[in-house]
Amino acid sequence: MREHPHRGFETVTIVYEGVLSHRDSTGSAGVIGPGDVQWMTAASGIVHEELHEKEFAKSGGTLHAIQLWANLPKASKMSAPGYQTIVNADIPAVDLDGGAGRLRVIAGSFLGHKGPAHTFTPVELYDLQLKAGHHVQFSVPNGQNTSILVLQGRATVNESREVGEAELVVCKRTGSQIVIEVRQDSRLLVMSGEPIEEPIARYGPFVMNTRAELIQAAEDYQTGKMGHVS
Amino acid sequence: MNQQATATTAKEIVGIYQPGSTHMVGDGFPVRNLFPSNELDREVSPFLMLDYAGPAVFFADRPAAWREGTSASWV
Repeated sequence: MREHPHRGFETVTIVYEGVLSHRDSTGSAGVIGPGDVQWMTAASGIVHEELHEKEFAKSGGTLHAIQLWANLPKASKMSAPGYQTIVNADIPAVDLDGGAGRLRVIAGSFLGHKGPAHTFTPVELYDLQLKAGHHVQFSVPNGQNTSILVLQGRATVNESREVGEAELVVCKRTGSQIVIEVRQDSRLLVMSGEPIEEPIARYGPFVMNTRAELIQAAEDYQTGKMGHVS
Repeated sequence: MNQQATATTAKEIVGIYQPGSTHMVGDGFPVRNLFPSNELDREVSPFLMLDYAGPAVFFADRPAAWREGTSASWV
């Protein structure tokens, strides 16, 4: 997408297949490929563009990716913007007991393995691959909102019905234990985080707490205060 | 419910959702949105938006651009 702004939150891009490139108003630029994660903190404002990486665009191929937006607490919405480019090799890949599969810890922790992403509020983010006929059991902090997206395969979460590709399981805040079982090889994204209990004022690429802050954000972008992609 | 009870309590399922909307991004690439479509908001806080892109095959002769977003309205 061509140049566009963000303020007040973070964007998390996870690439499973294909290659994406980005450039932004802070002068940062980079390329992320399979297994990599780009964690962009827009905070006070960033103007960026995202494209298929040049060689990938030329050769063609499969693109398989996720984009997740994480809100920032009021106290951090106007912090300085920044990027965490987290490459595949920096993400701990934990082999699950009994050859059940593999869990990559992007943020938070799993069995003592800490994810590399810095987050402003408590977040657990796992890339989970489970083998047919296996299960995994883990706990998330009580009170967090937890949801699980099936990317490939089919899975049962806490004795739910079997869910398939592109389906999302959303759990209640209370409780901690999660059991995911699969009958075929599956890949899932586990997202969990402490809710931010603050008012949300949202307009397209801006997520603030009040309408006045949204108007200010639009003005700041239009008057060039968020910069441009150089 | 005390601390001990909740630490070992299974999380209940609120619901199971299919993509609530599909939007075209960049130069014609479908992305499936799981939220905030599906009217999921407080249930997924601190997360605001989840877009699932692909898996989709791109051909070299197609112009390539990938955008993010919740809708096409601000493209």
